[in-house]
Amino acid sequence: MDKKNIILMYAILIVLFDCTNASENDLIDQTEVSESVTYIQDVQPIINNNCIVCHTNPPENGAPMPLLTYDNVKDAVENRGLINRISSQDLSFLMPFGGPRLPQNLIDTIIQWEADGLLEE
Amino acid sequence: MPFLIFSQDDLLAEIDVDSIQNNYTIATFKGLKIVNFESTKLVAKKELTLVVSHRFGSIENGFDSFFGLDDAVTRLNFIYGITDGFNISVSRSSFQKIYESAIKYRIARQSENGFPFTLVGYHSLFINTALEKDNLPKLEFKHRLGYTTQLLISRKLNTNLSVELAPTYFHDNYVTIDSQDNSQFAIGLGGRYKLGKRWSLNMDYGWHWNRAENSPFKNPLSFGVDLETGGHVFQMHFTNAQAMNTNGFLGQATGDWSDGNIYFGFNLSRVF
Repeated sequence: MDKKNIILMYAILIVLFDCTNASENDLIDQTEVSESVTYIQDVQPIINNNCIVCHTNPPENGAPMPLLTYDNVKDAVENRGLINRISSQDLSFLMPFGGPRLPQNLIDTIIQWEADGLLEE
Repeated sequence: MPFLIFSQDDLLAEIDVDSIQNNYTIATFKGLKIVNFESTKLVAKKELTLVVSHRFGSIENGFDSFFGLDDAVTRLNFIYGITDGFNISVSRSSFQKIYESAIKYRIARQSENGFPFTLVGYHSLFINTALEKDNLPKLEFKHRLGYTTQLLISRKLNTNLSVELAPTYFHDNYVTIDSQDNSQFAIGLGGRYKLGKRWSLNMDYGWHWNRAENSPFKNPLSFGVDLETGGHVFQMHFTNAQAMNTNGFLGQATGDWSDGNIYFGFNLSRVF
């Protein structure tokens, strides 16, 4: 490929995809959090989508504990600072490791879960 | 014996001829990067260079994470020289699982009695594959993309000191902070000071022009040393940005020099 082809390729790619201007609020569901947050209903899907890739049993990639069960997750919130880790702005402390940070509505769901008393269902 | 002496004369003669014909300034920068910013150096024609970069976690957590060793992010970047003045590259970074491809080309070259600067253009396109539709239900493919356009202007002021200015426009199709403009502007400032035959002191700084007021992100400031060994350039540094792609270190640097929240890192480049 010569120079012109490559520049053309980039130009086409950029035109093809175009620039959009989206931020977190544009891409999340704007539904209100339900009356009281429970593990089965609200928390488990978040954990399953984001954490159990490494926090499985046995844990992988250096993760120290599993997050597979209600007891695992409850213990992590009470004793292992799970909420601090997911809401940190320090990318080297943040979980999921390497980012991106979870959308704020999901972090708020877990904070609400703790405030509601860490109910299972 | 006379033959050997003769051949050495021959080599010396070639060196002399070369330096008369070519008065381009050489070795403005020894690495393809200063620290985080691209330098005005390009890969030679038909050469393939691999740059392996690491940024460890914050050193402020001390022995708990062995000064960041446990929380490293990695980038593998392959750069190929189509010509001496035109390079293409592809990379993958573990920071937000980003694939990036870029072109880099020389527009003008500093020479002894000619043009005073080296000008290089740099354009890149990246795909953030770490965004999850499960978390962001309205996510589409286009939201994963981002672009960088950069003009790199460098000048070797004397044998030891080279400086660079890098006006940068970058666009993230998705930003996490709602009040942040997706189109962002920054000016990069960088320099290299040669301390010895094989090593130099480097620094660069990214001055972001339209960061949102409530943004938790900081301007990236980095200091490091270049160490040259045969076939390698080894760059070690401290920086407050953990991301290594341009949009990442300009837009999402989280460390802070004032409270010791900085990262140790290195770039190791190897020519094949």
